[in-house]
Amino acid sequence: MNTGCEFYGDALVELVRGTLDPERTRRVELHLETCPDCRDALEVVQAVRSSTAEAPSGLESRIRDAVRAAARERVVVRKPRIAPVGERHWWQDRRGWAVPVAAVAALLLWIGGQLASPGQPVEGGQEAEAAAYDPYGAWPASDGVVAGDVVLSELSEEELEALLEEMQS
Amino acid sequence: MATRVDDDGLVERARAGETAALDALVSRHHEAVYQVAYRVLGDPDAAADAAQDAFVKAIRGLPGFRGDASFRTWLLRIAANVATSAGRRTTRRAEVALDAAPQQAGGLADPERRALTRTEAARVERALAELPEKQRLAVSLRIHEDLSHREIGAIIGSSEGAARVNYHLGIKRLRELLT
Repeated sequence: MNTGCEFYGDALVELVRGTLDPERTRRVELHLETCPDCRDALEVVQAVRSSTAEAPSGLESRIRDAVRAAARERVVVRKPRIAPVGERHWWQDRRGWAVPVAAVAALLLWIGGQLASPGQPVEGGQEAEAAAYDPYGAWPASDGVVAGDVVLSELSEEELEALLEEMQS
Repeated sequence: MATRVDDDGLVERARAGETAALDALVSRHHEAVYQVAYRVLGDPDAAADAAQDAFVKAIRGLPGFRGDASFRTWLLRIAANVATSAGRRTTRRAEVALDAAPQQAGGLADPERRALTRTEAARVERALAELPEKQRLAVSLRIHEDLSHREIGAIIGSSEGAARVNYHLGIKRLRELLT
């Protein structure tokens, strides 16, 4: 089979569809007279084109109904889920920053308390520190910087609320 | 190209929740989506289910449609993926029975001629069913939907060159089976 044939590919599809310009149509027809491979290929294209799988009756309306339902779902999902102001707790009014700010403020208060009483020895040294490991990763380093503060940004709102509650208790 | 422009406008309106635009997109593309699903699955009922699923997925995913490809290409890719997944869940493509052969385009008044045409259509169907999926889709999308090899590649998940090769291999194999 002459797969390198100039007319073997797209021109035959265009010829069958009737979208080939007159000049190319004439050239392809001339070629077909001398190329049995392309004549066979043309037959194949014509046969495949005539065997279109027609959609069953009623499919369009069935899909239309399903699509409308899906679009309605999408609109519902896009509605804001925050409760009205009257039903919210005070910390929910500015959800984006209220809890993290409260957590950081509590941390700073706690650090301030620690720095205000520098004379107290740390019991057990490093081993005790390891045993008293803070699962939220927020603790004061020796230079007074909150070593775990970066971790705060990675915590979920629930974890931050739990952290805040633990530190306040 | 005019279709592309019209589709873009319809997509924008559909994103805004306009029901008429959704309906127009369904009306315009449901046959092509069904065609793709049928070429993958070989079963009219399963193809209809897959076509519906593909549209629903497309509408749900409309906010993520960036317009890199045309809406039609994007939708047909979803259809191919949905149908392929559905085909994996079931044992796909039983022998194409004569009764399952798709109807020929255009009605024929002469019953004898119609029967002959139907037999020929079934023969083409069986030949198409012999092809590997990508070759079958490449042939169908090129001949039935008049898509470019680049668009076909985007739909079947391959390069433009690979789509072209799949098309040629498909035609070559069909030529052996049909002529």
